[in-house]
Amino acid sequence: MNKICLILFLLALNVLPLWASNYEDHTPFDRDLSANQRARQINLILQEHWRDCNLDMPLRASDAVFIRRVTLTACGRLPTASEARDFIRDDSPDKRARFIDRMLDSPEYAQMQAMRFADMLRIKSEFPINLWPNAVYAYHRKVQDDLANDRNLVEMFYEMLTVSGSNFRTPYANFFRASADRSPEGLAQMVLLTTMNMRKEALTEADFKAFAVLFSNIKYKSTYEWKEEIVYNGFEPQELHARLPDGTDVTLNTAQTDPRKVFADWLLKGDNDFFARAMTNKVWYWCFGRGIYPHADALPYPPDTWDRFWGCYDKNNVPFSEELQAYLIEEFNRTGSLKHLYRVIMNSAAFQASSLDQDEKRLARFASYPVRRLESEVLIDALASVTGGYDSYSSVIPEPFTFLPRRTKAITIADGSISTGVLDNFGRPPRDSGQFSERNTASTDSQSLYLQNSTALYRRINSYCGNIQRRYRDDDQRLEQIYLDILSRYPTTAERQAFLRYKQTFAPKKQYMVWSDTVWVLFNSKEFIFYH
Amino acid sequence: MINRREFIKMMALCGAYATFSRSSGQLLAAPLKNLKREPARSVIEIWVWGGPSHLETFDPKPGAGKLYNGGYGDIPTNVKGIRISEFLPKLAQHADKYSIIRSMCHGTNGHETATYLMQTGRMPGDGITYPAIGAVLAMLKSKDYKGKLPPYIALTTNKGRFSENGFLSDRFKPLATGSNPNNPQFLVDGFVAPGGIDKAHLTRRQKYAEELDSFNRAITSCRELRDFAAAGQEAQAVLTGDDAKAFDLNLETPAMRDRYGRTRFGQCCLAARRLVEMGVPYITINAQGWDTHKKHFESMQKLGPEFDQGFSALLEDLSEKKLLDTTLIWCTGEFGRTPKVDYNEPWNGGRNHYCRCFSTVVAGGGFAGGRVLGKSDERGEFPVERPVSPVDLLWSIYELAGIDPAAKLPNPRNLDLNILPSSGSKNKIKELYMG
Repeated sequence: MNKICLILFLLALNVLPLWASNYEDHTPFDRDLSANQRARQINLILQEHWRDCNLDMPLRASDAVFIRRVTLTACGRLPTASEARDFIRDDSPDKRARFIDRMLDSPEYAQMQAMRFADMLRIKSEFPINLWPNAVYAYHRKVQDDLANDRNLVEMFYEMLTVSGSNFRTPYANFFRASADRSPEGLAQMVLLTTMNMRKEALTEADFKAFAVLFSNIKYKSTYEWKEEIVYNGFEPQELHARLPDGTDVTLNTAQTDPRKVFADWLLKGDNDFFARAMTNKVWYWCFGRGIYPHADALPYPPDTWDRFWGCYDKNNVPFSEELQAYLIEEFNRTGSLKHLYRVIMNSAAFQASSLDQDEKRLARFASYPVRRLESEVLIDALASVTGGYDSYSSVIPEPFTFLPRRTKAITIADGSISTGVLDNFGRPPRDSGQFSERNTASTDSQSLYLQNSTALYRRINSYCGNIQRRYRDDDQRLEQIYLDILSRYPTTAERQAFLRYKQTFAPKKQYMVWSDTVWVLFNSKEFIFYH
Repeated sequence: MINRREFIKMMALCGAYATFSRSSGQLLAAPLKNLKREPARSVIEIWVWGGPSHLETFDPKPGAGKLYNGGYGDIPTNVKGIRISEFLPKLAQHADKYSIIRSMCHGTNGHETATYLMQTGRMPGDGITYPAIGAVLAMLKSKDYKGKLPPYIALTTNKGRFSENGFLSDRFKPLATGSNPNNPQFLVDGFVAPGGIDKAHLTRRQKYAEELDSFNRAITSCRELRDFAAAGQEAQAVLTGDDAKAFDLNLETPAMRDRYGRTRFGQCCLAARRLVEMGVPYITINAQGWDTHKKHFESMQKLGPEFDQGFSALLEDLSEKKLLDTTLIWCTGEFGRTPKVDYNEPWNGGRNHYCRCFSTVVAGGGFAGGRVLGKSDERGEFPVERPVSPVDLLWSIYELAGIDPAAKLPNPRNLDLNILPSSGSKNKIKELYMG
């Protein structure tokens, strides 16, 4: 197999110069070549995996489906009508790779990733995390800035795990505040989940207890500033006997060594893949709604050492492809870049696979793209961006009250405690534990009641339809614009005909209603509500 | 804030205290099977968000001086020996319908933690967010509930302090109605159809929707898509059925609406009664504006009459309609307010949070009326008789609603947990049970 890979790879390299001339026309910067190469590597791994599983190679999703999928996943928004139009009409062979880069470099990318990180880091003012507003904003801002700059995640988490200081002035000091339980065991559990995607049950009870010792010297003190809190390594010198998750025993004196640092050095600078495994699994989950491991919130103890723990080893929770996992870990260890992981995955055949065959066998191997409902915030933002009618967000707890500016997008709300009935209805996570499973994407009756029957939404639909009718004179153009706005594609001939037939059912004076009905129908369609 | 261990200690003390102050016969908890009466069908929770002052509601202290009572006194009620605050003249006429617990206490003065404690009976800190009583009852009672409205409805907003369904499914999250029932139309978004669309039009539009659904024809079926379609059909049933009429307060006579008071709180009480008639298992009214740190007595001039009229009309109306026996009402804040008034700047006659002693009112659904449980000292600062903890109160509510609080709480995460910690069984408020 390796030989075939090598041959294919060399062939691919030979083709490259042919592409180069075309490529230079678009951008003077040399980056697409390597992106293309890497797409080939990951695709070779995937294709071999699918062949081994006796699965047909997936069909590629259409351009319209692709652009919608990328924009939603990377930026948490719908493509604009003009983006969709331009992309569908573009004939250049590398347009997908270029579009992915464009999305990953846009400011909305950082907003969407900050939302995902805030879920994971449990950024909220109120119960049971109680970060309080000032700290929430400092923390969220810092995370978003770092993600916008694509700061090395290893560096970023090293800072979170080791920094001391004020929760207002040193935003990452909030890492150890954002836990419902601040006992050493509670913090250890939180750290395991956040940085390794592991539950405490993955370790034996004795090992977990010894691990928690590493977090027993974290102290908190308040200041005269309301809700300011200093996080630091306790001054009282003591000798600690702790154990790292890989079973290594450490003895340290807290006067000389901050125990947090021992852990951070091991996790982020040591010779193990716990962190890389968690991060690659997370990004994969964010791209597909399911992880490389079936239980994305509870990764098992790594298989290479599983004999030590084989009582805890779960045969049903293994990576769907060891090779793919190893490849992504290698890429992550090489770059430490979140954006790079997204780029590799989005350029892969799995991410660009068609979703039309929802056979569970194929889905489990990522040979089909899994459909799932849009996240609450993303769905509400999509409705708002099309119609121009945004919800308002505020919090009357605690004082002083918080009012977010008008036209705030739901994905940019820093504080998990600020929500609306509609956002909750669609399963916005409470940010209590930071697990993926906190976010609910199931469909419920009350969601359908909102989509089908909300007066607020209906008013927005009407105002949007008014705009469409004012802006475009001819029905065909209007219909096209609505389809591009909402579904990022052109209407099919059959759909155009259905529209005309439906229009005839109205009395001439009532024909304007065909527009609000059409928009209502599209908003209630699976094609709009789901990632596909 | 006290930690878990101290809290447990306190609970134990409460229990021990109760053992000495009551005859031993009362301590034997009746198993649920032996509950003689029909369990309460619906529960109405009047959540006085922010913490009401017990001195200006159900535990007045006319003899404590202006520094404590602000110069306000008490009035007699229709039950001999029970006197309540002069702010509540209408409720005074219905004291036979409710009972007062004057010795509620717990150890936490922060809104969020106190709310959590009063709603779940647990202190935070073990990394699990427990569901509120409303979500648990909605889940356990939804087997017998066939209505189309959600089993847990909040008028008109959520508490917002924590996720009330905890680790339970989102189905048992309260539906916050939004809007204001005191508006000309109580517009519960999603349940009240937008105007201008008749039934024929709806049918036509549905057919059009199927024609346009090219995606659905192209894709193979899967669970996510089937669930979405099924949810859509359920929603249709709500729209075409009669259940949502519970929100149409204009179906009541103007005289009836006036009786509850033309205020947000009053009309919430009326809406709650209509939801009870629909059989909704759990309804919360989240009253607003009671966190009166500043100018407490000025605020009470507005809050008192609204509360008095709405709550008394609800009791009277339910009892006239013979619904009070099957409807359990509990009314409380997450705590009370400091008995000693702070006349200094910037409070100017304010009261702060106070958890050591406050009052809770229970009525209907198996609770007797016209009784008082517990007693506070002459300034309302500490309980001197029969302290009652949040767990004791919740335990009794569960029991009267026909749920054994010692039973396991089924949950999607398969955590091995009881509905309430067992400490509640010893000290539940059995003295207020009917019969």
